[in-house]
Amino acid sequence: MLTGLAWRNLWRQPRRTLLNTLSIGFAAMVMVFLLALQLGTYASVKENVLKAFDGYAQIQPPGYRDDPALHRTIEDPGMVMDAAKRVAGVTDAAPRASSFAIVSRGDASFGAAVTGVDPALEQRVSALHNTIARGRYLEPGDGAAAVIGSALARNLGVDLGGRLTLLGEARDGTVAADVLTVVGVFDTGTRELDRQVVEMPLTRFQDTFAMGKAVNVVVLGGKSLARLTDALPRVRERLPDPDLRVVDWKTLRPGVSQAITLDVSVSMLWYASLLVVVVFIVLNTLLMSVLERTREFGVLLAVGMRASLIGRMVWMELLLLALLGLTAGVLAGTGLALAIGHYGLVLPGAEAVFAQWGVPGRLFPRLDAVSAFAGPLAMLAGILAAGVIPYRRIRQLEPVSAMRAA
Amino acid sequence: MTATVQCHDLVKRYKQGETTVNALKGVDLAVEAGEFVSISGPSGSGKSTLLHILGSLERPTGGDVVLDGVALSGLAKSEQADLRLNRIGFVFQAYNLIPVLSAAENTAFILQLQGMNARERRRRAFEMLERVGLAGMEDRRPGQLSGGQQQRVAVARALASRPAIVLADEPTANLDSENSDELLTMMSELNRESGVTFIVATHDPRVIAHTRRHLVLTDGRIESDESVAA
Amino acid sequence: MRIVGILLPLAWRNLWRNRRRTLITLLVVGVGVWSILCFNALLRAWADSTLTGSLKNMTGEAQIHAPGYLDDPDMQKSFAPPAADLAAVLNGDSVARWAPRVRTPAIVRSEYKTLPVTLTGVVPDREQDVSFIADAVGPGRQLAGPGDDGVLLGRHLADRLKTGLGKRVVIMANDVNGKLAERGARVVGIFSASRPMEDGFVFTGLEAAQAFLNAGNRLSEISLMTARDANLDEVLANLKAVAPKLDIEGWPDLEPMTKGIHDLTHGFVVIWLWVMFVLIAIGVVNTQLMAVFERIREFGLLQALGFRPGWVLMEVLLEAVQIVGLGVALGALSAALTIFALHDGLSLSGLARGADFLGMERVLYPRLAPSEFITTILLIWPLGVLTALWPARRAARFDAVEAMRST
Repeated sequence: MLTGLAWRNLWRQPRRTLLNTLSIGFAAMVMVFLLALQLGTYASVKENVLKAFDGYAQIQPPGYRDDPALHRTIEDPGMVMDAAKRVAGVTDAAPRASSFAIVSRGDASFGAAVTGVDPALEQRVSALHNTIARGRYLEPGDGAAAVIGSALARNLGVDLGGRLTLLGEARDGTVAADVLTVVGVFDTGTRELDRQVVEMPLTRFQDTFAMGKAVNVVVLGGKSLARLTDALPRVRERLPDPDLRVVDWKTLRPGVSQAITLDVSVSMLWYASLLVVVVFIVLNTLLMSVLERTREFGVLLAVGMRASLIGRMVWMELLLLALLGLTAGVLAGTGLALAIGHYGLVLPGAEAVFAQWGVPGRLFPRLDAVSAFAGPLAMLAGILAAGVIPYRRIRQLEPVSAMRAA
Repeated sequence: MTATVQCHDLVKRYKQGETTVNALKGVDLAVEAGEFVSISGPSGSGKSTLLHILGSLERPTGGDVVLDGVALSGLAKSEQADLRLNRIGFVFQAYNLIPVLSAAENTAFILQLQGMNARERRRRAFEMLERVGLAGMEDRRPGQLSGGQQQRVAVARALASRPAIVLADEPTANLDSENSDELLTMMSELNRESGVTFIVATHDPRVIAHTRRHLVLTDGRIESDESVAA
Repeated sequence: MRIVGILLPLAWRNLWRNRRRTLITLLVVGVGVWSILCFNALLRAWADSTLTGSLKNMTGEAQIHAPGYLDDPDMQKSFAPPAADLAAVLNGDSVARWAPRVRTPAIVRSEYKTLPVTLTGVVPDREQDVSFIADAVGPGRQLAGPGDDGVLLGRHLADRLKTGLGKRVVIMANDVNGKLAERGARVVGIFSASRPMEDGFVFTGLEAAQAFLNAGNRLSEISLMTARDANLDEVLANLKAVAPKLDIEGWPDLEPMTKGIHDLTHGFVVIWLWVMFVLIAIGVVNTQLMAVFERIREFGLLQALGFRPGWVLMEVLLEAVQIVGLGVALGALSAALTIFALHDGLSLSGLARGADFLGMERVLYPRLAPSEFITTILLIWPLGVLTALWPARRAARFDAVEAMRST
């Protein structure tokens, strides 16, 4: 009954109600859309940066994170990979071994990060194979093959079929030397990768660098970054060797994590201001409306309605107004996010920034429960909290003085 | 001498929702300078409408009005506004005053619009307020004055600009009998002193008693027109 | 215009008829403007910081290289020291400082480990205000001069190499002829900087590097900073005019990401401004509509008193002018105070890696040029008043008689 009355009261002043609905709706729409855009961009950056090479998570030997040296190893990668894959959420595991070495061709030599990978498994945890510009990626059965970055290829003056000499230090301290044939050249767009990375078959790497069956890390993959990250605690429990470290994306790329935190904090300021402004606009209207209806409330009081009930009715009006505006805003915001999600948003400067990390320049909003509802819920809370003020004013009304009000 | 106010065959029709209201059905009227006239009639008789037309607030559907030598029909909106500013004073039933201005400022408002300097304005306003018996209340705002006092300020303002004619629309409707009496007595005195024409629309017999000429408006036509000896 | 003088005080008094409503509206406008300006300042700090960060991370505002060097930063792509006319521009007024360098990929080897780095031969004094190395040396000492053949290692690099002050390391790099050169060097100083800098760069004296790489007096790059009031494009043009064979580029091209961040943050400021403005506009219109509808009869009265058509409109607009103006002033003032309060900088030490990832410095200095303040004020104030046109027109359109008839 109260709700029906409250609803009708709202429409006594249609223009005013619509204006307030508009402001609430607009602010809610902006919040939903921008939050979706932010979250989508973060997700995109995270996934792309990590998938480019590091992988969603890694299992590493102790001390490897700080000082990635060849002699820090995982002796039985098979057991580790099996254990990891048994955890729900972990879909793939791939072994890697890597070392710094000199690659040369003729007189040209350059330092490079040489990484031994399992050609089949690696493709499931990293996206490098998608960036092959010429030739092909490594295949199971490859022997003395390598894929190298485009800048490195250019600097060495080598192309498909060309031979590279590899020179480094093996695990036992002896010289590690090999000759590889380039089967593929990749172009990720990231300078670091294109200029410094060489991948070769793991078994060959293990031979050349005297690793035996050991590897340096096991890279994990999952359906999504979030799902894999959630599964990591269970992976930790299941590991056969308690010394091994399970390293999540935040530790692999602390820069990304903190950059996101930085961006989030700044935008929180933004959203908070938005909230304050909207709440005050609505409060103004509400107070005005209560003032205008003082005489009417006086009559209600005289007739026997309790002040607290009148107050609740007004609060209900506020709630309905807020819900009206917020629903409109959420619908508009999600609509906008879905529409833009189709084509992506091109912002000046975004292209250049994201190219750095191999991320496409278009921003794609990502809708989920958080982006769709977090902002509007905060706004609802703010508006309802502000409603305390008129509620208290109403509670203080006396019937006779109220009826005499101008 | 031409009359201060002269109407010929005034007709006024307007729509109220679905129906058409025939407020005035042919009014002829001539008021000389310095007269103190009351127009009465039951509600809906059209007296407010007549007053509004005389004051150029409304345009008649038919007929014409000449006020202080000026034919109202040919005037543009801005000219009408100027006319109201300089030649006509209004006193309404209520809400006569601008709430944010003091009594003196309200009184002087029209003078300010006319461009009089501040000192002159203040002097004239104080003079008028004293004349209507409100000396000492010049700086009070309407919210601090009683209903009767507010109406007196309205009269002071209407006269401060030395108009040709003052139109009062039910000025005593919201006042008690004592205040009504005082107000009308004052208006009558002012009329005699200043020679400004007063036309008062009212249904209060006490008010009518103060005036020297009384018209009765019924159903949009003048039914009777009686003058009392001076 | 006399009428404006009459209406202005009237409008001001009308604003305060309902004190609470006016105060809330002032708050809405003020908070809106405050947030626009502060956010702008914060983003400006972000962009500045990224710029400074990346500039000082060995980029400088502009660099001169031999053609092809940027793709293949090898000693074979080196160039002769500046000829007379190039030197003239470099030493002229438009360039504040310039640093000659040898810079090539190299390998550093300790007893324990071999790691890739970029060997950079510098003239220590010339690096002042051009790159970070001039101020970053911690334990140990700065290089004595261009002839110093000791090396400076980053702290983290030294840790990984398990080496330290006074110890020797081996440096290997391709010389001018493409042949591998190798020599031992003593660690004379350890420097602290962002992780990528610490891990990536090894510094030695310019002449020592040239000798080591058989480069004679050839340079790999010149990094320069323009004078404070110089225009980068002009400086680049001047330099290119006197050295057409060299590859001269400014930071927007060298560091597209930094430029990207500049543009991106600017884009966000614009979005933010317009979103906030819409809300401010709604707030003002809301208030003015309420104010106007309360005074229907009064507007009728004013017309009866002789107000010209248009004066009522003007009065309502003047109310908007004052309330928006006051709100904008309050917002701008509080923003200025906030920015001033943060002038010692906003520390990002907890998010240091994040700052590094984005190429920023560790401290943000929010700042806003006076012109930005003025632009924002000049934008919001008149536009805010314009939005009040709607309620103003409604007020003016009331028929005097209608107005007075309504109960």
